[in-house]
Amino acid sequence: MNIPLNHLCPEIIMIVAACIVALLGVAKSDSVRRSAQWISLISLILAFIAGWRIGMVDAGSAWPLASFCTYDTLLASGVGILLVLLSWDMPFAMDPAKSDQTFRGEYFAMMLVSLAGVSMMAKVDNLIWLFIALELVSIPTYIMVATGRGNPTAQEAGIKYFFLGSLSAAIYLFGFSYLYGFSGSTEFSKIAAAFAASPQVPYVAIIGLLMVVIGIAYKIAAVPLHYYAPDVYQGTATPVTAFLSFAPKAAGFIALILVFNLTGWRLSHGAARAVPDLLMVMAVLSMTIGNVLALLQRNIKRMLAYSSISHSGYMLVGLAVGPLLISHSTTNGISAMLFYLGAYSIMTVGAFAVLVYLQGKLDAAEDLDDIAGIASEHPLAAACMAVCMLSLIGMPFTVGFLGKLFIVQAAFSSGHGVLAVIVMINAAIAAAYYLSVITSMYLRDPWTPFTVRQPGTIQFSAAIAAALVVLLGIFPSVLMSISRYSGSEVTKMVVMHDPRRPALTKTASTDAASSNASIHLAARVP
Amino acid sequence: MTQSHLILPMMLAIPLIGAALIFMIKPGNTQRRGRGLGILAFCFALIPSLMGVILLMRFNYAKGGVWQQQFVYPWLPQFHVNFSFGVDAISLWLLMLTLLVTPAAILDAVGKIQHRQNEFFAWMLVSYACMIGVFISHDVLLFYLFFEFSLIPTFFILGIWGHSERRKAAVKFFLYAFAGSVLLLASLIYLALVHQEKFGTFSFALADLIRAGQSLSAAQQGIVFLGLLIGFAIKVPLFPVHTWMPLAITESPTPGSVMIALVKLGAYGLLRFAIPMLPLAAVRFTPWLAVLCVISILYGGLISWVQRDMKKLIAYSVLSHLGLCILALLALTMTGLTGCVLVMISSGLLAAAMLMVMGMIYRRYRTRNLLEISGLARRLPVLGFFAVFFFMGTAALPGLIGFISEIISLVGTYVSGSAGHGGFLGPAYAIPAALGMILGALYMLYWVAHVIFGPLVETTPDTDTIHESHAQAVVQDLSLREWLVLSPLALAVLFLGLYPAPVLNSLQPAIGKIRHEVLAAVQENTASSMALKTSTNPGKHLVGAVHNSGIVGLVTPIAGGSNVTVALRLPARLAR
Repeated sequence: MNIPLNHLCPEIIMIVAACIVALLGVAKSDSVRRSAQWISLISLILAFIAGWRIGMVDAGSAWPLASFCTYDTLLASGVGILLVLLSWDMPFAMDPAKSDQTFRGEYFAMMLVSLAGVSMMAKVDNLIWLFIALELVSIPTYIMVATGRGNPTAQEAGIKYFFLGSLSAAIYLFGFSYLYGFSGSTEFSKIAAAFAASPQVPYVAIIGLLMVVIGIAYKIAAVPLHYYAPDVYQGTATPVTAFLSFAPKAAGFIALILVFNLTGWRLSHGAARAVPDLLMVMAVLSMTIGNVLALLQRNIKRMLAYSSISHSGYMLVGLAVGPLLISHSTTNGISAMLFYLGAYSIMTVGAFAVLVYLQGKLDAAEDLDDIAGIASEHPLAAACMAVCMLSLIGMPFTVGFLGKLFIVQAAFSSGHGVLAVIVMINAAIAAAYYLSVITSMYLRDPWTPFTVRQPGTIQFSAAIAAALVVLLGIFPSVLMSISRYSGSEVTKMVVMHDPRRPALTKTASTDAASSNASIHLAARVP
Repeated sequence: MTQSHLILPMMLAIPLIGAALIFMIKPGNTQRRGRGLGILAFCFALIPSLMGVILLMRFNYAKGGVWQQQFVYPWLPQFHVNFSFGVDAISLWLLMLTLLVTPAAILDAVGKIQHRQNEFFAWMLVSYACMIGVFISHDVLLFYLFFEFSLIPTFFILGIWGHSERRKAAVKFFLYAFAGSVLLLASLIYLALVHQEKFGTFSFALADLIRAGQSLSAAQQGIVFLGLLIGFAIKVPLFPVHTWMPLAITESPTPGSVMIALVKLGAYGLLRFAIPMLPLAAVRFTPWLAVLCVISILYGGLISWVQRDMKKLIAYSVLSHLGLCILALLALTMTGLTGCVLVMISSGLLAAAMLMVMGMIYRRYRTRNLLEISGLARRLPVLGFFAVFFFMGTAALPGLIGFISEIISLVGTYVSGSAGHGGFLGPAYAIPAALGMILGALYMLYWVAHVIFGPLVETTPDTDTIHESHAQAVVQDLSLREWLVLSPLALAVLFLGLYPAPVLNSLQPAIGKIRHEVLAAVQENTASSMALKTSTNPGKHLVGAVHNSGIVGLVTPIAGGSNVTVALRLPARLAR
């Protein structure tokens, strides 16, 4: 990678911490092994701070994707903190029914490596590195899925996830080879130059792009490569499910943005239309199938699996709309998508944190009946869950509302009104099953009262997530500005690589979006 | 705009602070603690009402069409979305209605909630804040936020403290309203983008969206209007999508049903947003919508005629009144629009009062079945008086607000479309609507005659479990608290019925503005097949309408210098 070493500081911290944790994890003494979570937590906090500092220094520098990288690092380490907190006791030490009660540090090592992969994703500038980053995210998750829980369903989930994951890796790697064949290089700058030089996007490249999209669709659990998601999400331990709903998805979306950056986003003409068309079809199918199937579920983890499929659909809308359309005040598709990614990560991790918390008894709290009436006994947990569910529905004053707002706005402003309406109709369908969780918690009588003896960190992470959902819903400026800056950086890639548009003079203004004000909404179909 | 007035944001903040505070107090098991929580909530609800009095004194009635007491604070500056509050005459009076009734509803619930009192009163206050927020929002996105958020408190109040079918009712209520409002949101975003495209800025300010909407062609307006219409029609509710409302009102505890019946968000949204933003589409859809309204009126009337459940009776009468409200709105005459706002006020006031009376009867007899109790005037003379009073108000007894609002709405609809009035409806719609109102009078009178003045029949609930002493205690007449709850509402019903001039006069400029916007746009755009003559002086319309309609025998100027007239003959016939 052709970037200064200090920019990789967050990833280095995570990887080093991962090595330490992996070593400590095999120690004999339980107390030494248990230092693993603390080390992971501290390293992620350090990585977060480092990412923040680098972002501050980098603002307005020549680095073309500075905000985008900062966003990625902050997202990976920030959500990573929540994930460490909620998997504090991995695997469940108090579960008397299981023989495998020992606390193992290596889980956290896997997690840190995977998060380092997510964090590195935006910084890569080479197809090889891109592949390495994607695998860095994926391979630890295979292990986590299989070993997170001692029962056979976890093994089944692990096998399923591993084989299909390898297959998808093969597909996008094959796609990369086409891109290489087209441009003769694996370096992003050269591939981009090759795209810019060719008047039409050639078929070889289109086939490559399509394969990349299909391969990565597995990572983001988009229809039609979503079949594994419900089984894997349900089968594995809940903290791992929470991790799966975040890390591969974030990595996949960022990778897709990088790959489309190569093309200069010249995908709206000729045969290249196939790519955005595919994205749109996948978006519509993911939203609709995910939501409709989620309606039928009684198992909350399975329901959240389908919900994560549908949320991938919403984000794909942003991606399909693309960065081409930006003006002074509205978001473009990419910034809307990045905002949604952040919002989705926080609210879905919050929901899983509550589920982890409620699993005080064996594998309870997986079914809607299990959480009946918990509001009276576990008011804080129920409130956190309710906030996250309302945010996933898209109620006002939560971050989920703003996410949907920006996505719909981006879709409308690029002339995809039908897509926007489909998003909204899906939001209405989704409300039904999210509401059933709230109904079960608040409106039903307790089924079997169970006491929860869990480390306080789990509830803490749920509370942080819920608080963030509300705070970012009311004061979204932090998340909004960083996603907008990132989006406008991606837009600059368009400008630089598209010969049909005059290159914009670089302004010293800190508001990156304002420099793009001259690109006006073209060809808007009402 | 230059000066920021803090009164409106404070009105919004105080119930929210109260809600947070009350939520944190553990209810304990004692009845006393719950009662204390209720009183505390009542105090927090009363403060905005007292501020409402200040607002009434500060408001410049001569400029009722101008947004006053504005407060602007940027929220999402990148999107030009502001916390922008203000009131004009329409929102002022609807706000006053909320400020009057909600504290009464909270006071009514004090001591009557058996479990999780802190949550209950906290949700009531949140709901209150949402209602205030809806009426004071000047920014359309802000309106939408409150509009949508108000689902949550109602969902919990209905779902936790409701009657036996509460879960089904709560979920149905939420899903109906949410499904409608997502399309509403999509339409609003689209309009904001249209504004950006045509006028340069992305904005959700009301005036901007009206400008954007009116700049669209008729076909585009039609699509956007459908989105808005679905959201608002479900909320109103109108006939085919009304089914959530009777269920929600019936299953909710009394304060919850009061909140549902009180606030006419759907009608307000149509009046304030949908019609002015998309006048061409509104005019095109008018005949269809008007038919739905008439169906609502007749259907509501017929159902409640045969209804034996007290709360359902009210729910269907609300349906029928709201049909009239929207019908008068669609008439687009000055008279009609005034009637529309007045029906919102009167129906909110009367339905809330009746629901509370029903709640008081239910608490005494544990039944909502009209056939199980009768002759209550002998046992409970004061409650009987209030019941008769409010029911007469609903049956449009002259001198009460129900009469004024209904007659103005009907006249407004009747003259609509005739020369000199503009509008697109006419007698063909007004006459069935009037029939519906006769039905209303019929069932109300039947009910009053039966329950209040019939032979004394009482049921005591669960006679096996309740001792004789309890049974005696149950059927006492109104307590002091119940007096305090009902008397302000009764006074308002009487006062506005006898002297509606201040409300009517201050409404004229605001309504004239909306009407002018709509008719000007329509006149510009539609073919000459619809003969439109808008008058520049909206104030004359009311008098003219009443004089020209030919159904008015006796015209009585109520206030000196006021242009408000009241017709007595027709409603006398109606009320018979």
